[in-house]
Amino acid sequence: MRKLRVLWGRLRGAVGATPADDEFAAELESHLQMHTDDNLRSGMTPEQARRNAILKLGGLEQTKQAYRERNTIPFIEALLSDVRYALRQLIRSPGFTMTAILLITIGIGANAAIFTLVDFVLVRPLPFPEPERLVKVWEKHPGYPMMELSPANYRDLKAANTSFAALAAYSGNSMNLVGRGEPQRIDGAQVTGNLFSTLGRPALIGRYFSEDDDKAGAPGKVVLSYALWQTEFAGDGNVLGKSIFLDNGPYTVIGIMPPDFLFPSRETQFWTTFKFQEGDYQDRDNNYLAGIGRLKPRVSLAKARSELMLIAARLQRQYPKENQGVDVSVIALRDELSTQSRFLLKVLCGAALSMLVIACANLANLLLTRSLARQKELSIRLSLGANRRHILRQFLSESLLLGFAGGASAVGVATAALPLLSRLVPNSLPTQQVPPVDLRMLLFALSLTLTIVILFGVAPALWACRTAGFGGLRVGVRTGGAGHHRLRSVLVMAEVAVSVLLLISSGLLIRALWKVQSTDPGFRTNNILTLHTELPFPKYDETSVRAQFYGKVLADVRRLPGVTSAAYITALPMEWRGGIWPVAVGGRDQILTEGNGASARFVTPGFFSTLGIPIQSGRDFSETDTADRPYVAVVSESFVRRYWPNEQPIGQHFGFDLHDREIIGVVRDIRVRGLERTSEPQVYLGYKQVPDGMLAWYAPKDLVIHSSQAPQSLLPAIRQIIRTADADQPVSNVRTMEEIVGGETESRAIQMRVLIAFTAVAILLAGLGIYGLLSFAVSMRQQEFGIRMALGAGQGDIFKMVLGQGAVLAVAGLLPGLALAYMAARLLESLLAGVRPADALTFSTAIALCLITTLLGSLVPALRAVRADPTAVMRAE
Amino acid sequence: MGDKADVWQGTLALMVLKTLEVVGPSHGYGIARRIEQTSGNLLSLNYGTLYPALLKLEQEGAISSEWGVSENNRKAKFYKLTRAGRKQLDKGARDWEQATAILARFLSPAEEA
Repeated sequence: MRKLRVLWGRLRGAVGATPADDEFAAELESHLQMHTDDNLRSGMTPEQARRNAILKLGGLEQTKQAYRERNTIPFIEALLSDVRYALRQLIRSPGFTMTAILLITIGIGANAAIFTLVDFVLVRPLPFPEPERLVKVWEKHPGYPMMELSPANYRDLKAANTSFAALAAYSGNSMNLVGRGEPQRIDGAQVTGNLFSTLGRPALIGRYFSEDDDKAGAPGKVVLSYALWQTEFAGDGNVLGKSIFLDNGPYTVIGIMPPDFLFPSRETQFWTTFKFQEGDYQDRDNNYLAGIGRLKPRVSLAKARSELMLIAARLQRQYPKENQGVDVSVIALRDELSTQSRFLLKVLCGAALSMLVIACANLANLLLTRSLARQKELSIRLSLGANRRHILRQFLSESLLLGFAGGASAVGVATAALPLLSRLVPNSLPTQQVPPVDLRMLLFALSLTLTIVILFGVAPALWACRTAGFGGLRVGVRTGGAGHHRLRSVLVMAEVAVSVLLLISSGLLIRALWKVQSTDPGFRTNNILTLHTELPFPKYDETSVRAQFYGKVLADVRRLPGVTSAAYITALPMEWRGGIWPVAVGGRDQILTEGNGASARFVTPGFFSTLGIPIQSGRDFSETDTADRPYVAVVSESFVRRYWPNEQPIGQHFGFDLHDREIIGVVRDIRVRGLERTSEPQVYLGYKQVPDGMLAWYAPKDLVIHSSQAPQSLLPAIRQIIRTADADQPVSNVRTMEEIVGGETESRAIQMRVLIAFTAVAILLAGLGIYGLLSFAVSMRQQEFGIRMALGAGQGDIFKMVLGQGAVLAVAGLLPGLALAYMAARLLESLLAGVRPADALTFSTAIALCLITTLLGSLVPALRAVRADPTAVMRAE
Repeated sequence: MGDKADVWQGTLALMVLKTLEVVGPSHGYGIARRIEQTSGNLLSLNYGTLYPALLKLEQEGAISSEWGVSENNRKAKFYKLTRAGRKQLDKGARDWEQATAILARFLSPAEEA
């Protein structure tokens, strides 16, 4: 306690909170006066009296010093004075200081942001207890490694396995929330009764489902997401036990999940139970369940996988027809990201690291230059008897100040950049979209910065201290030490090499993006408005009731001014990639195999003309293609190529969806599965040719409108039309076709923008690096140039010499850079969408850019060298 | 001066406290003179070393200070013992007596043996 009080007092003294110095001076003065008085009284002369008093005191300054050391903490006081000194030094060279801080900000900020994002997406455990035990279970069909489970196969896998503590299933399911003002379409999920207990997160309020809630005939219950509870029910706790209407059915709210429970995706707003009945287990080919299981403790993923594969093999033998070739895939929940989004992130990591290398090299060069320029000062100070430790401490304080300032601004940059990057977090990840700024990452970034600045800020000083003294004075600053120059050249070469690497990688990815963007999707994208009206069941069970709705809406929409055509389809291309059904030609079984899948969509007449898909032969559907007429189909050209390459397709028959279909028309292929993937052949079916209550999910729900003017302006009128057709029918997902197709390349485009920014900064830094090195070299060699010119060298010679030096640096960096870039391009190949890794255009552009930068960087130093006045320069030293 | 004893480490504080207890509030110069007198001029004391000791005691809360006027009408800073200081003095004195007693037994000629 007493020690603490002392420490407090001394700390206050150290920061100057106590007016100690003045007061003590006064106290000493009074002491001396009293002593002098006494001495006078004992008969000394005034001078003697005063001198004796000071002598007896033991010296005025010594006493003050001893007092001050007792009053403050010497270490802290010295530190503060060092920091103050360092601050003055840094402020005195604002150019250096700003550049250094900027370099740290760029290098560390970019890395902190990117690595936080990557850690968040790829590494950090998902927000469930023991997430490493959670695995996804899929059926594996020939050609389709990850297909949903059918309820029957789910039931059998669940009953037979011993590896899982629990095996649950869910399926995305959006419903119309009605009876609360404007009807709304909200995304939710149907789940088995054990899903929540499998995931292991408790409800925030109320409870989640039990197995009883999932029994056939159980009353409707719903669990709400935190977001829906907040937006729709204003966070009112009384909503528990109340009923809400989803697709016209009442559901009792039994619980609210916590805000970070975002399963299976961020869009999920509510959960209901499947309540499977015996009938649901009949069709083994109806795959719509995503399986998620929790492994028993100490059961490995591999063991669970091999067990489920054994069960799948047994099911194949048991149901040779339905389960032909059906295996299972078992994947850790964490790993269930598309390889492309993983790869995009990894590429960004690589780019960020490259940036870090360049920034560090530049920073190192900057600090080296500074310490070289100060070597003479150091030598003088050392030879005048300055304390080495003191000098080192000053350099250390300067470095630390720079590091902390740069680190702080880097943190600011990273924090600001994260929300911008968050669109790279895949939708399917059951986590929040914007990663919180990661404290560990910041600490890591800070320690990295400090290491760099200390390494390159203090090491040269140390080196200078060792070699300096008289030797340093004699050598002078002029030569700067050959070793230093070599080190600095290597640093600049590394900068050039890495920026070439970045230039070429991002160049290739830009080319790939262009290529993907210019891919013809096969349909019209401009002036197309799309929106969702998902009809609820059982209200719209009957095909004719649905047809009435579509007919009314389409007729009214087509009458709107500017609308040229409108149609309905099951699901928009690129929006939904599923719906692959097996095709049976020539009486074969309809079992999905690798080669017989086709994408199935129900459409209304006019769909092809609305999206501008040309009909190559035959005809479009008509309103007379009804259920009581022969079942017909329009197919794509690739479908014809697959089955009737050399025959007239119109009039051919094939089995599809358990019906025999006759081909009435052939249309051009479209990209259903996205711009970067070829699709299965497409089969279109007439919207009226489906039995009542069947294939509810395939009922057309996307309205597509082509108009001559900007389509958004039509929206209010369209909403009114839909409200007139069915007042309870919500409209959702209003988008233009351009947005949908643009979404295909969005993550590429974001990655692209980040990469371009990185590359621009990198090439700029490399240029600056060359500039800095050459300027320094030129200023060191002024005298030499002077002599050369005095001996008859022309200005052109000197100019060429400096430029040549720049060119040597550039080429020395360019060559390894090209090699690195080619290796990187080979790694990137899967992202290049067919652009060759050794793309000549990209490589030559990169080389040209690099050389131009070098030239620009060398120009100013070269001009300065030429302008050297021989006599003035030689007189200078 | 060479034959005078230096002030032993750590004993100066005790001397200051004792002096303040005996003479009451006093300024630094007075304390210094008093210590010299009490020691029968056997101690050589740099008056300057007194001040860091006073500061330390004040930081520890054993003494407090305030400006006042000396017997000769000089402005001076007066130190006085606090309650904590009295306790510290008692304890210090006891420790010291014990230590000297122990040492005395070692150093005095053995009586029984």
